[in-house]
Amino acid sequence: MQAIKNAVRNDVEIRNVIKKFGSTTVLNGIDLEVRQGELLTLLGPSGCGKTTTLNLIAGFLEADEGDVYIKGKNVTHIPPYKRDLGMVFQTYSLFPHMTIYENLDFGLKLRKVAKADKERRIDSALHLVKMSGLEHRYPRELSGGQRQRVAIARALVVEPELLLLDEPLSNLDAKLRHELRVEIKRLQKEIGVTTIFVTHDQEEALSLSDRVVVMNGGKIEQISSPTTIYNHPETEFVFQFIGKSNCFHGTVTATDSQKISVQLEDGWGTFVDADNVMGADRTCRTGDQVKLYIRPEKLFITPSDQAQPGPFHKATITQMNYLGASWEIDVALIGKPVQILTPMYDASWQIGKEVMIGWNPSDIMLIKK
Amino acid sequence: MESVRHYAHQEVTQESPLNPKQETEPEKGSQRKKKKTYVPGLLLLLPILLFIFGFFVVPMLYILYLSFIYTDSPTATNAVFSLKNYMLFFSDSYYLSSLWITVKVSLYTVLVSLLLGYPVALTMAKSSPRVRGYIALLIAAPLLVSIVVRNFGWYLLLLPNGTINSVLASLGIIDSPLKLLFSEIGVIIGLSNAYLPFMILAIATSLYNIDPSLERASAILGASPLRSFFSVTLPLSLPGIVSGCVLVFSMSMSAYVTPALMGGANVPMMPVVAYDQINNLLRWTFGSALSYVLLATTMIMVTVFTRGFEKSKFREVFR
Amino acid sequence: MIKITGKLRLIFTILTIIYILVPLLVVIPASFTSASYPSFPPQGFSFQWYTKLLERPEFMTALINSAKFAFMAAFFAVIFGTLGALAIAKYDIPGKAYITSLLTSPLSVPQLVLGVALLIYFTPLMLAGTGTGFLIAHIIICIPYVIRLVLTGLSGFDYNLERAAAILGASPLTVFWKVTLPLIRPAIISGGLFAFLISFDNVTVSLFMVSPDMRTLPIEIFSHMQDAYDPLVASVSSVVIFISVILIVILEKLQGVGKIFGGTH
Repeated sequence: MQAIKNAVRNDVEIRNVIKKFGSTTVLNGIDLEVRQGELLTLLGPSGCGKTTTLNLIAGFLEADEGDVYIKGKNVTHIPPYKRDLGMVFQTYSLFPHMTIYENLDFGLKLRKVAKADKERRIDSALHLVKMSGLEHRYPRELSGGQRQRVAIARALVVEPELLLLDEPLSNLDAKLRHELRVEIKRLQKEIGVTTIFVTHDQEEALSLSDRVVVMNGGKIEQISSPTTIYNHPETEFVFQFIGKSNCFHGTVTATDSQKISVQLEDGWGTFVDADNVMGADRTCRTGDQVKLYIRPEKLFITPSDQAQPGPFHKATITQMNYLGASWEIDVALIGKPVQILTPMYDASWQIGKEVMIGWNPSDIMLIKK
Repeated sequence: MESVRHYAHQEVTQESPLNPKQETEPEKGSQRKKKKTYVPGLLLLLPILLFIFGFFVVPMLYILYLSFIYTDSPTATNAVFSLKNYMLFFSDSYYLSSLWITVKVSLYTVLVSLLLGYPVALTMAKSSPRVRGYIALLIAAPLLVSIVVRNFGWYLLLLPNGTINSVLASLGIIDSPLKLLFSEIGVIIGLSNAYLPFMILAIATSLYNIDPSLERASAILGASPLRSFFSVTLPLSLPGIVSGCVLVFSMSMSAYVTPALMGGANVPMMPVVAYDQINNLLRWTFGSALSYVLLATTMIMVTVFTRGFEKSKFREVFR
Repeated sequence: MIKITGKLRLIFTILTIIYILVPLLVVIPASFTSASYPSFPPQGFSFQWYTKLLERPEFMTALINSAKFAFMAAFFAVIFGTLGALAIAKYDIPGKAYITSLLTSPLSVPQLVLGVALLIYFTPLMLAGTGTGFLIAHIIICIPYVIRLVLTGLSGFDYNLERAAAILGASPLTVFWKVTLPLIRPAIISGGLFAFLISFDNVTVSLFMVSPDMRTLPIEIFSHMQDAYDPLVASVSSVVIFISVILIVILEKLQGVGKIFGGTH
């Protein structure tokens, strides 16, 4: 039981977990550590296994193989009601036949908390989520946002070992979602409870998390900080799932410790930072067929008559969309569609006009085909 | 063709703690199908309305009127408008005991159906839609076979020399046959057997409507499955329990065939007595009064029962 | 612990389903008895009670009567009910909710009371004991089911389809025949089948409507059971079960029997 001796304590450890539903494998060998006090997000498309992972931690599902530890204790075969966790669900899941007070009291009653202590804790939990004074309302009488605040209070009032959040914001409208997101982040830092957050919304994941776990097809693709996930994805899937992307095809012509030279399909060449290779072994050799990825906002665009340093190429504007804070400009680069996102605007940019497109070698990610 | 479209517009309100807004509530029925003129609709309704009115509403009101007409004998012409039929009913211990037996047997039927039906409904709620469909078919199909046939099946099983008594006797459990048929027990078996499907389906429907994450929420807060059942699932299925009980109770109160075949003269339930008065004794006015006493008793009991729940501490469940 | 209670519940469920089905399950084997009294399990095996059934014309007449009246009752109930349901679903008629509950109210009045009321009402009208009287009574008990089923069928109906057809130049009558009717046909057919079974099986209301010259099969069985106790009831009951099962299978394919009673989503 001396599994945890690391400098950073892990509140949750998942060891080589496999979970099957019938003949489909939903989790195919998951290893995951959740550090004490962090907010970890499980992110991925539907069916990637993120909810299954959360349900394994909660105890609603049992792993077919592998083990789950919470605070050093093997809980693989322990039912949810003996795990002492807090959880917030997508559908709020407040007990409709109980007042807000009774909802919060539910877990405390089961823990046999003394009455005076109980009232104090319920008060402070409701205060924490800014819902004081609504103790005697029924859930039906609250709005969606209010219900979710109460649900968070109900999860926190029992002072759980872990806080699990299962897409808690996805039933709310955009404005409320943002508001509650900020709130959750504040609460989590204030209380310091180790939190696991499941979402399919990348913006939510990037803005909330200390670390993001990107999952796909029952496997973990990458576990990193939000900035690393966005700027230095380790796999093609992560690059494409997080944010928008442009893709070019080419062949590696030379490599050294600093740079990789790539010849693009249309005959042009570009450099890529040697650190920017994605994929399992993160290396490539001369002659490899590769794909290059770059995000729309990392591309430069300048009027065609202005001379620029670096690799710049001529392109024709095909479409311009005004997004308020920025412009989304579609261009044809030797017949290939490329999208650019830029806060800048030049009056000469018109549909059908020529512009120059450029990029930094450090912004291009490369993967072997 | 002129038609006016009414777009369902959603009110947009600022969210504040004291201004509840229900973002997730689905819009109440599309109003787009509204027509400005409903005259063609009335024409379509006319035949059925006339039919129901002429052959249902009027006859029902006619026997209500008749129940207040008293005659000494079916052929007497000295009809007077009075409460005498009802007074006769409430002063005769035979009729009162008939009413009491009817209520008692109906309540037992409700109890048996509830106890047998709830676990089945729970199984349906926890099964896949496919299994749910099979169970629904198995329990609902007998409703479409005539009640006389089902009662005959019980004859085979319950008669003194029937299957159950033979088995019990051959096992040495009983010495003389149990009186299962032509007794209250027989009627309760027959009625609960016939109406159990309604109870199951009513409860199952309300169980389907319970958000499955509520049980999970309860488990994660520390409640054992048994505890979750009693504090979450059971109270939230109360609407189904109440409507199932009301349905089974009303049907049992007014059942005629099963009490007649399986109770006979030993279990004179109200419908059997009323039938006798009308068809054999030709006492139409008194029979009408009996019918309305039965109807009123059922309605009063159902209303008190339903209201009781809607005013209880579980009232929130019924909204 | 959870698994044990789950298993217990499953066993209990199976037993309860058997309890619901058992009266029907014992009837069929009992009809093949070779003895002179019905029993389950049957004594020996023979078809004698089926051949004896053929020698009893009253059962055959009653069966034909039942089928004939059930068909007519279902037919009229479907016509009245479909028109009514269409009106309720499509037009914004004031007091719609009240009309709907009025049209389904024959369901909530005890059949015995309905029978009493109609017998008393029909007697001075010279309809008591006649085929017309019987038919009217059966239409009344069938109407609520047709209304309910057709309304359910219409609840998912996309009225834009009717508009689309009208825009394309279809007259209101063409729209009804070519668009509306085909789309709600399954609901109408199940409504009709259901009404047929309700009428075919009915005893309580029929008891007040039959005359010695005009009896239906359930009535025949009912009075036979009160007078005598012989395996003839078993064989005739088996015939009823057989007919019901065929119709139930059709209904299940069309609509889902459980769904009609509100059992599945």
